[in-house]
Amino acid sequence: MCLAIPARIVEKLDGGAARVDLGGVRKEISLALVDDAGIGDYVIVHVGYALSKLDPEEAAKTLALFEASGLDLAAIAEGNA
Amino acid sequence: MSAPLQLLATLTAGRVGGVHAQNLRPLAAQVLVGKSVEEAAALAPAIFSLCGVAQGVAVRAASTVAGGGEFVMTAAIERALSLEAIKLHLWRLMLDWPVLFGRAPERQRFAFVLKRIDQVSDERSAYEAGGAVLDLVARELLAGFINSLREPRNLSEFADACRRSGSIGDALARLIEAGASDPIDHPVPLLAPLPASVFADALPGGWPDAEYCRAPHLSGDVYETGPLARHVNNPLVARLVIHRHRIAARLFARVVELSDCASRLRHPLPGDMPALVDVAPLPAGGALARIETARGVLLHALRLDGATVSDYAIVAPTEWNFRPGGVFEQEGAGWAAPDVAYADWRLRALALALDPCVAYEVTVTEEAVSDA
Repeated sequence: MCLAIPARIVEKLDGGAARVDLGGVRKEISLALVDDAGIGDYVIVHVGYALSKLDPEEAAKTLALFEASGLDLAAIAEGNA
Repeated sequence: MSAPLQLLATLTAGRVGGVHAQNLRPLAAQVLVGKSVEEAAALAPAIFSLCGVAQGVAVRAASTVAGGGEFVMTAAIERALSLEAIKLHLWRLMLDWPVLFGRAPERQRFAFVLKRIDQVSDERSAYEAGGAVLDLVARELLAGFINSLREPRNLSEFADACRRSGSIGDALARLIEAGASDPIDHPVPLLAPLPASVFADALPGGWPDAEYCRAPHLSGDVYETGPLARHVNNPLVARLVIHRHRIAARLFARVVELSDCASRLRHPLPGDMPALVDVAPLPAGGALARIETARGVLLHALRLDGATVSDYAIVAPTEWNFRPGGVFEQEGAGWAAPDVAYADWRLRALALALDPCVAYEVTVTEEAVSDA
C-alpha cells in the first residue's frame, strides 16, 4: 500500500535513469518501465522505478490532496523512492 | 535510515536474535474520509501506487454494501485484479529476486512483459495475455519438473529440477542449497482465504481501529498472509514446507499463484477457486470488504453518513506479516549465522519472500558476548 506521490523529472541521467523531485526530495530513479518520459513530466515512483506517467493536471490534483491530508509528504517521499 | 520499513536484528555468538520490524509508514485511509463515495472510489487508485485496482474495487464494494446494496463481482473486475496481481508478482520475480543472488534485475524483459499486459483491453486479449504468462511459468519454473518422468526423490533432485528451468527456477535452487530457513518448531499459522464475515465478526469492537490496522490478528492470533498461505496445499510447495524451506516455499507459491492469476485472466470467476472479493456488514453499521491481492488479504472498512464517507480504515497485508510479533519477527530470529553478511542476506530473503509493499532496509548489528 505504497502511496503514489507524483514525482517530477528534473534531469535525465545516463543508463535510462533520471533525477526526480518528489515532494521536495531529490531521488535518482530508473525509467526502464515507462516510455518517452522527459524533463518536466510527472511519474509515479516505487522503490527506484518510475511506474507510470501522469498528466500534469492529474499530478497537481493528487499533490494537492496529499498536502491537504496532513500527511508528512517529505517523509513519505523520502521512503518511497 | 529512510525506508519506511526498518528490519533490525542482532548477531550474538553466531545466533540471530532481537529481530524487530519497525513500520513507519502512515495510515493513509483517512485521506478518504469526508469524500463522496464516487470521489473516494476515484481517489483510491490514484493515491495507492502499487495496488490501485484492488484499492478502488475495495472502496466500491464496501460502499455498495454500507449503502444497503449488494456487491456483484464481475468477470471484468476479476480480470483487472488478476492483471494487477500478475504485474506485482512479476516485479518481484524479475526485478528483485535476481538482485538477491547478485544478478542484474531483468528490467528490459519485465518492461516487455509489462507492455504486453498493459495492452489487454478485452476478453480475447486477456485470454492471450494469460496464455503468455502460463508459458512463462512453464519455462521459468516448471520445465525441469515437466521434463522428468518421476517426481524428485529428495531436495537435491528438487533443486536440480528447478535449475533446469529459467532464472526463477535457478533462484529457487540457490535458496534450497542455502539450507533450511525455518528455525521455529511452531511456525506462525497461515491465513487461508476466509470470507469477509469471519474478519468482521472477529474485529475487536466491531471496527479496525489504528492499533488493529498496525497489528492485525484474528481473534487474538497472529497469522501469515500471502501466496504461501493460499497455496500450501500444492504438493511441491508442501514438500518445501515439510523440509523447513519456508522461504523457498514462498517463492514457489508465488509462481503457482502467478499461474492461478493467468487462469483467472483466461477463465474469470472459476467455481473451483476461492472468490477474490466479498463484503460483510459490520456490527455497528458500515461494511468490510475483503480482497485477495498479490501480497495477501486486504481489508477495507467503511462507514457512511448519507453519501459521504464518515470513517475509513485499511488493513493491508504488510501489516499482517511485519507486525510486532508477526511472522517476520518470529521466523527471522533463532538461527545460526556464520557472520553478519550471511545474516543480512537471509533476512533480506525472508523479507522479500514476505513481500512488504513499501521500501525496506535490513540492518544486522553484531553484539559482543558478555563475559559476566
